[in-house]
Amino acid sequence: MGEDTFKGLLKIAKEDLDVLVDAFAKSSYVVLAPVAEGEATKFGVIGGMRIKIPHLTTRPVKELFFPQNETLFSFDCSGKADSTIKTPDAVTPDGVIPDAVMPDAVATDGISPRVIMGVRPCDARALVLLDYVFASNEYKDPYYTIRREQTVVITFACPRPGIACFCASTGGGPYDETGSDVMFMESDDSYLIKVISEKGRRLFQESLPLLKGGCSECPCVIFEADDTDIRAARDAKAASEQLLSANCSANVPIEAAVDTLGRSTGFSDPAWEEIYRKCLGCAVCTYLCPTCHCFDIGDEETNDYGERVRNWDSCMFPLFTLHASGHNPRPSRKERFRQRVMHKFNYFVEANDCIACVGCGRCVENCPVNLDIRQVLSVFAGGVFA
Amino acid sequence: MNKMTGNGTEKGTRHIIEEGIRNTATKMLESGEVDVFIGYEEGTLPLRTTPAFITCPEDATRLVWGPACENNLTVYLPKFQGAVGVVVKGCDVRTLTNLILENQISRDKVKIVGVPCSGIIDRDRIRKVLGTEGPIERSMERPVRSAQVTERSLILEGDGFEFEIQLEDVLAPSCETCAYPIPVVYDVLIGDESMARHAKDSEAGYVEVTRFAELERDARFSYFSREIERCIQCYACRQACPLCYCPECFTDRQSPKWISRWRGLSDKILFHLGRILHVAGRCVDCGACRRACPVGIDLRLLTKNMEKVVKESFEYESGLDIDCLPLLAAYKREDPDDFIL
Amino acid sequence: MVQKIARGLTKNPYVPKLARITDVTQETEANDVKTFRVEFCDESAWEDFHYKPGQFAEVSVFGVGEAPISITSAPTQKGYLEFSVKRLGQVTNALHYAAPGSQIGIRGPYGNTFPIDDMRGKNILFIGGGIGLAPLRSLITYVLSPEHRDGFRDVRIIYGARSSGDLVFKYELDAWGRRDDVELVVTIDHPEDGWDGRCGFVPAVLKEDAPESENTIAVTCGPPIMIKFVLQALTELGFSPDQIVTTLEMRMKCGIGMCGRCNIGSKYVCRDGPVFTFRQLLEMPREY
Repeated sequence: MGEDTFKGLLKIAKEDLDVLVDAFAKSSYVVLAPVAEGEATKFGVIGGMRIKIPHLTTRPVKELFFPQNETLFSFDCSGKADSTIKTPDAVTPDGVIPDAVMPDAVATDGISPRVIMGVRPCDARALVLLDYVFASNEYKDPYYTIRREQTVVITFACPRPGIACFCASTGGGPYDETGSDVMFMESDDSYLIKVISEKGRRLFQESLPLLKGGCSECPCVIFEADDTDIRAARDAKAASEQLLSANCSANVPIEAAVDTLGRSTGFSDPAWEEIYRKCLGCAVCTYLCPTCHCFDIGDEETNDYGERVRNWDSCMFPLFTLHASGHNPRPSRKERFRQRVMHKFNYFVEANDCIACVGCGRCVENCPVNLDIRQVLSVFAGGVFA
Repeated sequence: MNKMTGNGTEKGTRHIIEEGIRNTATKMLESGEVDVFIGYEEGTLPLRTTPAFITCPEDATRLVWGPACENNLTVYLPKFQGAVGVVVKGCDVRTLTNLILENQISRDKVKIVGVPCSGIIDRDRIRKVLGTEGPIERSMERPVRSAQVTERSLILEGDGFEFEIQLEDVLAPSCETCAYPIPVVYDVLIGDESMARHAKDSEAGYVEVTRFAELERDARFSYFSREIERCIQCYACRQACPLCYCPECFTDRQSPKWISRWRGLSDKILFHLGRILHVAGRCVDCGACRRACPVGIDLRLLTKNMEKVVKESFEYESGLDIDCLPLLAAYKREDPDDFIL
Repeated sequence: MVQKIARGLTKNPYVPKLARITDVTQETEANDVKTFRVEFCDESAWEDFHYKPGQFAEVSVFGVGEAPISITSAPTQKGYLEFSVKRLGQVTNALHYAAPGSQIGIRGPYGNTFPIDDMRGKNILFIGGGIGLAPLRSLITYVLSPEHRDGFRDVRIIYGARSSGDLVFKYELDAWGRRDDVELVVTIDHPEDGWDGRCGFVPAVLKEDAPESENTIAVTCGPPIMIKFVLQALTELGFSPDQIVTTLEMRMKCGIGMCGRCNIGSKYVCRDGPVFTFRQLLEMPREY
């Protein structure tokens, strides 16, 4: 990231954030932001609630593009008539397929554009990695693609990276702009706003005229940032990067690990024999990962009506690769754990020339047995697994 | 540096236990009594330890003990090859007893290293003590960057704050009312019984579920549904449970397919109720499922109630006796049958 | 105001084309393998369904699910597709209950093809075991078709099954056997009353017959254990890893390289396979 990070910035007081959100909503964008669900947090439609930005949501933003459960199409399976296949022609902002797929419901006319506020740079970067999977090959996933096209991602740079964060080691960083349409940066009592993409520019062009500020006439909550603001933001960025690099467990030797795993001996490295041992075989790491994208396709059927659905799946489950014949190419947790690590740090690299990890630290924080991917990578980088 | 364990300078209880575990592990590995010794070592985050599989005596110094030793290590024992030593708390040994009764590991293959337990901490409770309103605010305000344990308290440090919490105030709910902090079965007991937390009467643990049971049916169901609804079906609860060792869980059966991964609440309820019925008379409320849940579902509502039902119906507490039949494998004429329609 | 986007999800790769089963053939005595002939309900579906031997399709039984099944017919056979299906999982079980006239879904074709261009002008040695003949049959039919036969030299087929009752495509075995431009060897594991053909495991028969490796491509498919020994035998016979072609099976869902389960190393069997040379297999992790 060069010096132009801080050029041409806008500025809004933190307390005016909700005024801006109102303007987005008025120009027909659906606004999503972090919401609480029990003790966990995730992204959801905020309605009239005040925007609050947690350090990192428990559940990553990926589910707004690639939901855990999704109807691909519905069909009649009565056997009486010819099967009729209906595809969902609309997707609601929170990723739920609306009534459009139900046979009797009226189809809505499309998907509303939406804004997601409060995405962290790691999650935004992950979207670009998911694009490689869902939107860059011969086949494109229409469900993912349409949501991506219709979404403006507003990232909030991280002023205080957390204890499990290691984004800088993965090529990102607390102020990384990859995957963001707009970036908000804290500067004392304000946010500085950097409009990055064409989608972001359009959002602001459409919304700014609708702003209502302190007075009823003019949009006087958004200003151009001055030198003092920019200095404060620059200091905040430096402090954030310093905080991250001062945490030695955030400095993960990923390049060296990728190199080891990429050699012909990587797959059969003796370290695999030990490294997986405490793994419980649950799907916490994969389900909470912003880049994991494996899924299952199946039919859900009641009486004569059926839906072809897809659900998240996890390489950590034994059923994931179990053949109908009973043969399983990845029979134990060792092979399954290896698959997860190899997919992120070798197979994905071979296919797309970048690792499939953004260093958000969710798998580190949520693993029930503290099996830490940073340590695993350190082992392959030549360190000791201790 | 995060020290979640015995402090080097004072010879406190925790330090004595830690030394005891290391010495025992060294001895067992040197004598060849065990091939692997499973204990805890320092984790990579504040307030965390992590399971350690020690095979060389010289590595025994990695082993630690403290109120962050949360995992129930007996989860690794079913089908374990070779002789194994394992560190167990009062609750953990009760799941191990069940594993032995259910022929998942033979008694002579496992060396039980019991620890008099003074309770482990609950990270969710710590976050609640630190934070204010809800989970979002908690995450916004106070990330803990390091933690230290003293005999009775935790000292937490974050950006611009230092905070001391009494351990007693942040113990895991199952520890607060623990009736068996001293392992009921062991080959070696580290330290002595006086080092354990004072045992509570088992009834003390049922206060909350009793109160819940007194709520209106609708209120109970809506609370329960709200909790279960956010289940992401990662099955961490099942995988963390030492007693969920079936080679193929009913959840994973494809034909017939009992449970769908589709978004239905009823499938999620079926999974959780099915699981809890499968551990009826076996579950010891060690809390492993509750801790493993990444979205904080109140799973103890189920486990504790099941424990209570079993105790009231059969005067049976799971995992206390290594020479009895498992509850569901035994029949007594006086067993109540009023639940059979 | 932002325009709401109204658009149909055209080119949706997950939506199958409707097709109808027109004929069902019981292949094995145990009736665990059936061959289904299917035709698209809408003729225009053929416009973007151009396949070559080696490819597979995702076959839907609505209400049950989808399974990847290799196309056992050849593109030289116009107007229909054929799938030979062993009854193993949910979808294949449901297919076995389907009668002619039943409606199913087909999407594809997916995967790579047998390296037909590399095979031209060469001898072709087919080695199949059990239901493993199904993907080979597509290529055999193609090679033996009047319009393509001249492009290839000697064709030899070694096919085996556990018992005579387990042999599939018996009607075609007869036809192939009658041709003078095909050398066909059919073997069963153990002798049987009334069986006057060869006996013995496929790899053993292969070694006995010792076909010439020069200017020959060997194509093999069958149970994993058979493939393992066939690869050894071929190597002993002087076949280089580039001269040996096989086709792999993996659990698959999407068929288009997204769902993430059928990979062997960085290769997705659904997209980079299912056809691999032995040379490629040697370079891949042993995880299949």
